[in-house]
Amino acid sequence: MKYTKPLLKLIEEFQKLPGVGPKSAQRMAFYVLNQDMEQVEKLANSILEAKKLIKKCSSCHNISANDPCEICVSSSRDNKTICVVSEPKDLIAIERTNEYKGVYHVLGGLISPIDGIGPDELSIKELLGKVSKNNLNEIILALDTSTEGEATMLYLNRILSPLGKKITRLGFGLPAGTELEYADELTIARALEGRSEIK
Amino acid sequence: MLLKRLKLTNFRNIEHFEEDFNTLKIIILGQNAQGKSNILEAVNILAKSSSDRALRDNELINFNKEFALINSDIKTSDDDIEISLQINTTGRRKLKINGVSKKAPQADLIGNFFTVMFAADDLYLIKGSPSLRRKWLDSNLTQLSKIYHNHFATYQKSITQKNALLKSAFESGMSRKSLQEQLSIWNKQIIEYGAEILLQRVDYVNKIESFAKQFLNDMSSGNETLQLNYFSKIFSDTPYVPDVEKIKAMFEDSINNSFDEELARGQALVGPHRDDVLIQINDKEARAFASQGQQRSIILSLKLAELKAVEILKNEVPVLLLDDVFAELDESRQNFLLHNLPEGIQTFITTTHISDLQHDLLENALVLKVEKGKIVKKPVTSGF
Repeated sequence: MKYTKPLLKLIEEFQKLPGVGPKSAQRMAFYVLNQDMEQVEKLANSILEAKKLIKKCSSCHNISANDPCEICVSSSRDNKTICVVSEPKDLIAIERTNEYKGVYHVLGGLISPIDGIGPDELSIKELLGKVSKNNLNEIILALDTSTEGEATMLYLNRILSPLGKKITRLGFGLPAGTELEYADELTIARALEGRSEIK
Repeated sequence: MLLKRLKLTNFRNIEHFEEDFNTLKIIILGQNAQGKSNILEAVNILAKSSSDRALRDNELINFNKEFALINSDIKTSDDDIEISLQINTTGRRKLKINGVSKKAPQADLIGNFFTVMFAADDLYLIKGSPSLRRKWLDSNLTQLSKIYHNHFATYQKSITQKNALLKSAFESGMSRKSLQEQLSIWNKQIIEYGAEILLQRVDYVNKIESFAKQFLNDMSSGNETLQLNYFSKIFSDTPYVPDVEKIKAMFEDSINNSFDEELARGQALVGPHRDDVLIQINDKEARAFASQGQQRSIILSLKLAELKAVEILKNEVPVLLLDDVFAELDESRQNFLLHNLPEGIQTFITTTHISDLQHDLLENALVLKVEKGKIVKKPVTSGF
């Protein structure tokens, strides 16, 4: 038996979401059908509202309901330090540590020619503008250690270093709280390379 | 090391197969295209993670099934290991070692189990294209070094990205300066990881050469001398030195000199992905001059050398997989192979005709018969 048309459409839409396969999409669709109208409206409205209200911060390109965003306008933030990340989710990961007090710049991806993403597709010009205008102390490159992340870091370092600011990258090392013997060879090799003196 | 048990589920045409191996010799008998080689392929994947016969994981899964499973019990010189590998149509694998799920199914598989595969197709190694010889090096180095595996994966990704960039530069008419700027970020990683790959490959080729030379010398009663040389465009002006920093510098020069050609052809032309192994016999290029018999002797020497390399580097006797090779080897070469195998080595042999095998091989052997993916045990009958 085939699904009736509105149900099929719902399943298809769910299936477009990341990490959702045909089975999960079907489960979600039936779940929605079994809810009362009020609950379904809440869900639908929250999707619409999020989409309508959340925009990109014109300064750091992070997503927020306000423009400029809460971090950019906060007086407790040190705006002489910029942390460059690829996506808003990376920003959130760093925020969760409660350790970082500077501001951010979200690139919107990583350089990847195979996906048609070159420097012009990312917010690199805006970053360059910010760095040359403001009196910065440090630019922290907090990007993935993947091939694309490395390439983007090399590119940024290349175009930012003529401006004479301090540029750093996140350290490689052992995951916190792990036993050495369980770390893989490459991680240990990198951690050895990036070893530091005990203060 | 020994493969004590193998269970296959939906692996290629084999829907179900389970067998305990209490013998050192396992003979898999069957007509062509019944599934003999599939068993050896599954065993080989446990050591090398990828298969020479499959481009994509999908090809390894029985038609219309969601996944294939390889379960195995392995005995090493000082341990017992249970490996379960699930290969999914989604392309994502799942790996459990001793019942514990592993996060990196490709990398974590490596280093637990070692094989030497000798298939009839390996005869093309000498006359075939350079890509075959690179594949041969890569699959052997992968099982010997997890770091090689990681470097190689990163290197390949950077090459793919560089090729995409060169192609888009050609199509979009990107300025030369902008292209050079963007190329440099990929070249830097290509040089970084490529140099490590080069170093390990040259080292491996040298080891294999020294062992294989001895084997070929013995086989030919001193009449044939084998030489293997790693060939890379990078060393065309300056000779190879085993120093990673020097290799990086030479690599960089070589890439810079090839800029115009790379741009014109739209692909990366310098690096380990374009290299080759030159095989020479009595100072002549084997590719052009080796006779059919000499080719067989060379391959046999190389395979015995591979085996010895695992023994020395890993302190384990690998499992030998002989896929349909006895029909290609005459009696004297068969004898040479058998007499040069280390003691206690476990050997899996596939053949269409049991008469192709030496009598010695059948002694205490387990014989399995494969027909359309179904496998039955067969008692060794006398009177061959």
